[in-house]
Amino acid sequence: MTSLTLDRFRSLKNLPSLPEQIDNVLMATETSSSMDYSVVEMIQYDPAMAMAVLKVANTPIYGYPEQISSLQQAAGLLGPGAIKNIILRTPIIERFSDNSSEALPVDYLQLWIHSGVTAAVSGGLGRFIGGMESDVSFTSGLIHDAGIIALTVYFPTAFAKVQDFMDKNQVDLIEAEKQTLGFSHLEVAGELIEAWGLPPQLSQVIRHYAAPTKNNAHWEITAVVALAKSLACEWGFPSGLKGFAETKQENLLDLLGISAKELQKWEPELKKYAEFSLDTMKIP
Amino acid sequence: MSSTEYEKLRWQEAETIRNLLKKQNSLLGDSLENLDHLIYLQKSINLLSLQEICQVMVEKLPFILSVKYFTFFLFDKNRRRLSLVSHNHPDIKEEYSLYQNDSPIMREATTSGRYIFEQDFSTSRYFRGRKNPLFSCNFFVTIPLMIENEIIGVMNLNDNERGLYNVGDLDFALNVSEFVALSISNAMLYERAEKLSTTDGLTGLDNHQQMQTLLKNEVVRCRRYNSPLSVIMMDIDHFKEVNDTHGHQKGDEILLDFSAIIKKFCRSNDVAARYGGEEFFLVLPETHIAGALHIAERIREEMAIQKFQSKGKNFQVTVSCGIAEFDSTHMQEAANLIKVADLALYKAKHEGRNRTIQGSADDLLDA
Repeated sequence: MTSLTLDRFRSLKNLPSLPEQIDNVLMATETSSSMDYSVVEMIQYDPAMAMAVLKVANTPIYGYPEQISSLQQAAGLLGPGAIKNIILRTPIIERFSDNSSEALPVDYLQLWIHSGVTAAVSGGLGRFIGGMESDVSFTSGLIHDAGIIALTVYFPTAFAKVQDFMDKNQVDLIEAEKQTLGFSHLEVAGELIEAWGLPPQLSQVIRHYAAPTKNNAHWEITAVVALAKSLACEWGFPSGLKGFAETKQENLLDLLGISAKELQKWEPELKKYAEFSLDTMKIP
Repeated sequence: MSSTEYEKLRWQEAETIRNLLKKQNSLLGDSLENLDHLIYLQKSINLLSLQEICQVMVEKLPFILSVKYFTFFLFDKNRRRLSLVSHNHPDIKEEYSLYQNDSPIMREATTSGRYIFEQDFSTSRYFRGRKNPLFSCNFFVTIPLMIENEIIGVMNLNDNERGLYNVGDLDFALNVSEFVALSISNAMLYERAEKLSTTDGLTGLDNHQQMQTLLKNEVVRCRRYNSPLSVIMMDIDHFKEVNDTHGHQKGDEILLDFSAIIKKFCRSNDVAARYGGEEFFLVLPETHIAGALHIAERIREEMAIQKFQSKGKNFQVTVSCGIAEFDSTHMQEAANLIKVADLALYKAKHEGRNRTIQGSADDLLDA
C-alpha cells in the first residue's frame, strides 16, 4: 500500500482543467457580445471549473454554506467578475509536464466529454423521473469522476501503481484502488466535496454511485448518475478509464422503478441533451 | 507512440500552455489592477460630505472606470426628480435637474432597478437615432445606485479610448457603483442628521442651540470689526388660547405660517430660529436698531393681516416683538443682547401686545 492518505486530498485547493476549455471560457468572458449566461453554460459541463465555482459559492461569505448545488445558482450569486477570477485561478492540465517519458495515463479530453455527457443525461433523467432535484443529479453527474482527476493529476505515480495492480491481478479499478491505496477514487471525490464545503448530498451520491442501493441516502440520484454514466458509455462517450465495473442497466432501472420502454421513450430527448453538452463544451 | 511523435505532442502542449498562461497572467493583472482601483476609490470617497464625494468622482471615476464621460444624478423618489450632482461633461450646466419621465433610459433604470448597457445608442430605443457629437464611440451604460433596494441615484457612462465596453468593464463598473452608492448614502444620512441636529423639526428654522452658536459667533465678529448687530425676539400673542380654542393642529399651522413670514423677510446672512414654543428669534448681522425695527414691524404687520380659518370662521393672530442692538460698551456677551430683547418683548406684551418695543443696554441695569 502507498503512503498516500485521503487527508492529502482534503488540502487540495483546486482541480485543473483542459487548456482548451480554459481558453474558450476566458474568450467568452472577454467579448462584449457574450452574455453572462453563455459563460455559465460553458463551465457547467466542465467538472473542474464547476467544482471551483461551487466551492466559492458555498463559502459562508455568500450566505449559503453547503447549500448551492447548481451552477446557475452559483453564477447568480457570484456574478461574472468573480466567476472570471475563478477561471483565472484554475490550473491547467499538463499531460507531459513531469519530464518522464510517459504522459499521464488518462485521456482527459475523453474524460471531460464523458463527464459533460453524463451530467446532461443525469440532469435529464432527474427531470423525467421526477421527485428529485434535477440540479443535484446534473451536478453529481458532472463531478462523479472528480476523484479520478485529482488522483491522476496530482498523484500520477500512485495511480500508476493502481493500474499495475489491476493488470496483474485482474481486478476492477475500485478494488485495485482499495488494495493499493486503501481507498477508492469515489472516496477521494467525497473527501474533496466535503473539504470544499459543497452540499453533503453531492458527496453522498458520488461516494456510492458505483454500487447504488436503497440503503444509501439520496439513492435515487445515486442510481440516476450510475444510469447516466452507463448510457454515456453506451452512446459512444466512455470515460476511457480501464476497469471500472458498472452496475448493469437492468438493475439500475429496477432500482429506479422505470421500465426499459420508458427509458427508450426518453432516449431521443436525452441524446439531444448530450449533443447540446458537446456543442456547448466546444471541445475540438 | 514513437519518440518523435511524443516530443511533438509535448512541444505542442508546452506551446498551448505557455500561451494560455500568458493570457491568464495578463487577465489576472487586470483583475489585480481593478482591485487596487476599487480599494483606492473606496479610500478616496470615504467622506461625509456629498459635495466632496462628487468632486472625487469627477477627478477619479473616469479613469477608474475607463470611460471619458460620466454623469451622476441623485434621485428624489417623492418628487420623481433627478438632479445632476457630479459630471465631467464640458457642455452641461452645473445646476441641472429633470423629471424622471423626461429621460426614458434613467426612468427605466430607476423603475426596474437594473443596469442598461447597449453598444450603440444611435440604434437604441432610448435615443431613437440621436447622436451626441461629444462621444467618439456609441456605447452607453446606465446604472441605478441602490442601497437596500432603495434607488438613490443613477450613473451614466459614455465613451472611451478603446471604442468598446465589455462585460468585464461593466461588471467592474457595477462593483464600483455599489461602493459609490454606499458612500453617497452615508454622506446624505450624515448631512441629514447634522441638519436635524441644528434645525427645528416643525418649522425648518434653526433651533435654539444653533441660534445660540451663531449669535455667539456674530457677537465675536461684531466686537472684532465694530460692526452693527441687532436681534428681534418675537412671541405669538395668546398662543395658548389659540391652541385651546382651535386645537394644536391649528396651532402648528400658525407656527408654520409665521415661520414662512419670517423667512420671507430674512436676508441671506440673517439667522431665523425658533427660540422655543411660540417664541422666535432673528439675528440681523450688519444691522442697526432702525433696520431691525423696520424688519420687525414688517413681520408684525404681515402676521396681523394673515387670516386663519377654524370651524368655518376666520380669525387673526398677532405677534409682539422686542428688538435690541449689541452695545459693545455695556454688553459683554450674546446673553446680554438676548436679555435686552427679551425685556423689550416683555414690555411689548405688558403694553398691550401686537407691537414692537425697542430695548437698550440700560434695561440690563433695571433688570
